[in-house]
Amino acid sequence: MANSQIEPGAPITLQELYPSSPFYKEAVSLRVTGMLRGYSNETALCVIEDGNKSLKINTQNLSDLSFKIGSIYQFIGELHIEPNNEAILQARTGRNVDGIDMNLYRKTIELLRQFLQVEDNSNMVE
Amino acid sequence: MSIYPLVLVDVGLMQECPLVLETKIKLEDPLGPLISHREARHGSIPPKHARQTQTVGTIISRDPTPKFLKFGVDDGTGCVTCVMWLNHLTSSYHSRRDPSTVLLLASAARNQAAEIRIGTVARVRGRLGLYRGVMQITASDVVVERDPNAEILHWLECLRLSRSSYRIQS
Repeated sequence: MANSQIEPGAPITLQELYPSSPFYKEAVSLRVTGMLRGYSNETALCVIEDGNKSLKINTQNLSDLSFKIGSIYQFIGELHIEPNNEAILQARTGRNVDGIDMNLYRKTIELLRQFLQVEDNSNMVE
Repeated sequence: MSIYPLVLVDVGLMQECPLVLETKIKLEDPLGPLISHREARHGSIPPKHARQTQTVGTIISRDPTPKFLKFGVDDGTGCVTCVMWLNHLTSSYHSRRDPSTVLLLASAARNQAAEIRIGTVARVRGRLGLYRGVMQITASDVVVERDPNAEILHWLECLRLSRSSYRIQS
């Protein structure tokens, strides 16, 4: 039952996370993917990178996940905007996705978004 | 963004099925009026003919009980509750079946339930239904996906089927 109230983590690329983006909002549920660039055991914060964009991830709820710099990870969680306007994803789930085809991933989420947009528009006129 | 995840159904099953299950849980009766997924979402139309569904997504919750395992799946477009029954050996539902088959089913269900962990990606097959007005999949089998591209391929398959096999509401 509770799951029906959990928002799905909308798949995005890190390039789409900028202050005026519709995804750049407090508590929005996102699914982000990128290469692990750094991890701190003390703070449980890690940084993932995709192209020239990076994002901090709070992994304090992910006790079972092991981190390897240079591997690709995917996280689902809620975005938190700090007072200095920096975004941190509070991860609910995380997994290693080494071997993922990032080009296919980017193209597919764009296609998926277009499909869902058409669906939502058609439902609005029902 | 939709509430429920994309759902696949085998084309072979679609041919046997009087209703056609579309992506985003849209149901259409070839002999009757179109049923919108909004109606299905609010529980006014039980998807009784949508017998077999398949989805691929990340396990986001896990709630074990002695009789069943309830877990949530997020495929990036929606979240759906799934239930895997684990009471094969005590349920009257299975009492008429061959005991060795029931033992096999019970063992398989236990093994699969142990593999269902938060953060893993799984392919869930089962029967689509409503429980207290909320869509739910009663899982017949759950396979953990090791391929990091499994969800991407699932999305592409949903999109392909929506264009080639399912009738899209317009």
